[in-house]
Amino acid sequence: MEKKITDKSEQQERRRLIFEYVRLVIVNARKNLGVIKPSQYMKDIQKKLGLSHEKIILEAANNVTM
Amino acid sequence: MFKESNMNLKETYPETVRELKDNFSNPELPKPVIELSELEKLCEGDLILEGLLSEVVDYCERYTETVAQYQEFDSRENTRENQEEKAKFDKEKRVVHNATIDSINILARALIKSGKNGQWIESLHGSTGSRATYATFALRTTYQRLIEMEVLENGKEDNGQI
Repeated sequence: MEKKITDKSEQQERRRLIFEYVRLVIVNARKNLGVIKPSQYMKDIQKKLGLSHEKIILEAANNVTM
Repeated sequence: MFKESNMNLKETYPETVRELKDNFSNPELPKPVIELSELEKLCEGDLILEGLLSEVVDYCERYTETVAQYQEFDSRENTRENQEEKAKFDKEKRVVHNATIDSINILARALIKSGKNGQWIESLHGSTGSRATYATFALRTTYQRLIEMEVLENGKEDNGQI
C-alpha cells in the first residue's frame, strides 16, 4: 500500500518536472530569439527525469490534459 | 514463470526497461491539423499573412505556456489555497485561449480571402470542432516547434533559472 502512494507521488513529481521544463523552454527560447540555451536548472531537470530535451517534449505532448 | 522473469529483468536492468517504456509510450509527436511548415509556405511573400502567422505562433506558444503552468498546479497538493490559486489562473488561461482561437480564425479567413488554402479551419470549428480542437492545434504546433528548435548544449549558460 505504502509503495503505491510513493509511486503516485513520484509520478506526480515527474509530471510536474516535465511541464516545468516545457514552461522554462518556452521562456528560454523567447529570450534567446528562437534558440534554446538550457540553463543549469533545465539540465538538472533533464538529468532527474533521465530524458533528453526531445523526449521531455514528447512526453509532455502525449500526457497533456487541458 | 513468465511474470517472474519479467520482474527480474526490471530489477536487473532498470535503466533499459525505463528507456524501452519511454520509447514505447511516446512513439512520435502528434501532428496538428496543418503543420507549421505548410502554413509558412502558404503565407510566404505576403507581409500581412506572415504577420498573422507570426501572431498565431506567438499565441500558441503563450497558450502552451499557460497549459504547462496549469499542469504544474494540478500536481500540487489539493489544499484550499492551491485550489483558489488554480481557479484564478484558470481565468488567465481562458483569456489566452480565446486570443489564440481568434488569431487562428483571423489567419484562416485571410488565407481564404487571398485565394489560398484556409479550409483546414473547418476541422477546428466545424461540426466536430470545439475549443478543445483549437487547444490541441495550439499545443501540437508549439511542441513541434520546440522539438525542431536548435538547442545550444555548449552555449553560454544563463546564471538564473531560465
